[in-house]
Amino acid sequence: MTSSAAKIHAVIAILAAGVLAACTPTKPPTDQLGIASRNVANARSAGAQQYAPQDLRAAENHLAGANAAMAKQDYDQAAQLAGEAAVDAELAAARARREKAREAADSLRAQNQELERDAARHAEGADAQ
Amino acid sequence: MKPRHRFIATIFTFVTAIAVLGASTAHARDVDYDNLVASLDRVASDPKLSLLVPAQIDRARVAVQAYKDGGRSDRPYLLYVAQRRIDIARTSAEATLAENERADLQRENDRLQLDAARRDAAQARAELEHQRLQSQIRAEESERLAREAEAARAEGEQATQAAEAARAEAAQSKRIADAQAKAAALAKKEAELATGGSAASAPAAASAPKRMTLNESAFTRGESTLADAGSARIGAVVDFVNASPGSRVRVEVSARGDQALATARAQTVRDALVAAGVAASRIHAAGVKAKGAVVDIRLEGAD
Repeated sequence: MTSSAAKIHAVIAILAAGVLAACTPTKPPTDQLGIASRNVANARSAGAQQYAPQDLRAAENHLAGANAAMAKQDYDQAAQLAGEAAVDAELAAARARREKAREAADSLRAQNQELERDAARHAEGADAQ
Repeated sequence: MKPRHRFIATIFTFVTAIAVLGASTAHARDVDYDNLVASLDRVASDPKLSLLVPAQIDRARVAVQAYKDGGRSDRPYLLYVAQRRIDIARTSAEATLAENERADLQRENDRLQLDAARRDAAQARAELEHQRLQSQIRAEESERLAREAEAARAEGEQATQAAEAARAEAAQSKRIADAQAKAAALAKKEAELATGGSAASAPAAASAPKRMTLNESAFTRGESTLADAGSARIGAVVDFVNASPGSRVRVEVSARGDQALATARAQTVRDALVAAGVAASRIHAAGVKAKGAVVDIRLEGAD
């Protein structure tokens, strides 16, 4: 029976080690923060301020939160907020890209319709002559 | 042994409780997971979207898998990231779709612009051709007018020539008339001469010279007094003047531009003539400011 007790103790020891491992302070998530900052800058240059302001604001808020958590050395929180900021910013950039393309397409569509009308008018005029 | 069994039973109960609790939360997580999978499938199963962004769909799938495998404490975070990844995949696909459409529309636009430009060019050419025809017509018109004007001018010239000819003819007639008159006068004169043939002196007087000159040597150099030669010549002058008794005598003296000397010399000649018996009333003497230095004596109104 001592063997079974030893087994139980071993299990407890392993669990405790796991808990301890989970609680050890993680390293500062500088990489994640760098990625998040870069993504936010990309989104801005893609025109997110105009085309996806909500997503950009979310990204900026998450990034600011991540930096604040970094300052408090809460690295887990900082890492998560940086990850959220990164995807927010990616989404903002994608939305901006989509909206810009749609806007340009709409403008071209209207222009093309006008040109086609001109061509049709001209063809009619040529026929009339 | 007994307490040990109780201990084991407690552990077992604890583990069972955790398992039940875990199962209930796993069920809650499964709803979120199912939503994620459904949402990802909507993008992935749409061939129009999935083919455009395979990498993004892979990343979304990885995020969904991470959510499924993630620990309890990370769940909200992993759910957030997975949802965003799926949104990113869908939005990126839509963006690419819109960009492709924009490119198509741009090509269409280029084609239409080209057509319009060709049309404009054709129109401009037609307009140019029209202008060219117009100007050709105008040129022909002006050429025609020029020809007409030329014809009119030629006609006018002909008329002028006719008038000229008429004038010339008139002048010719006049000349003939003049010549006839002259001939008649000459015939008359000849007849007169024939009748007065014996009295030779009278016609000689009539046909005597009406003009006589003295040169500068008649006077003392630079003075108005007569030189010796001059005094001798005065006699000839008196004879000349007396040959036409009814005439007026005009004495004109020039002294190389010296008016005063010329006038004084004219007076000298006049005095000499008067002294020789020529009536003073017949004589008109004057000095002129001519360059020569002569005494010019003319008889006027004499027959």
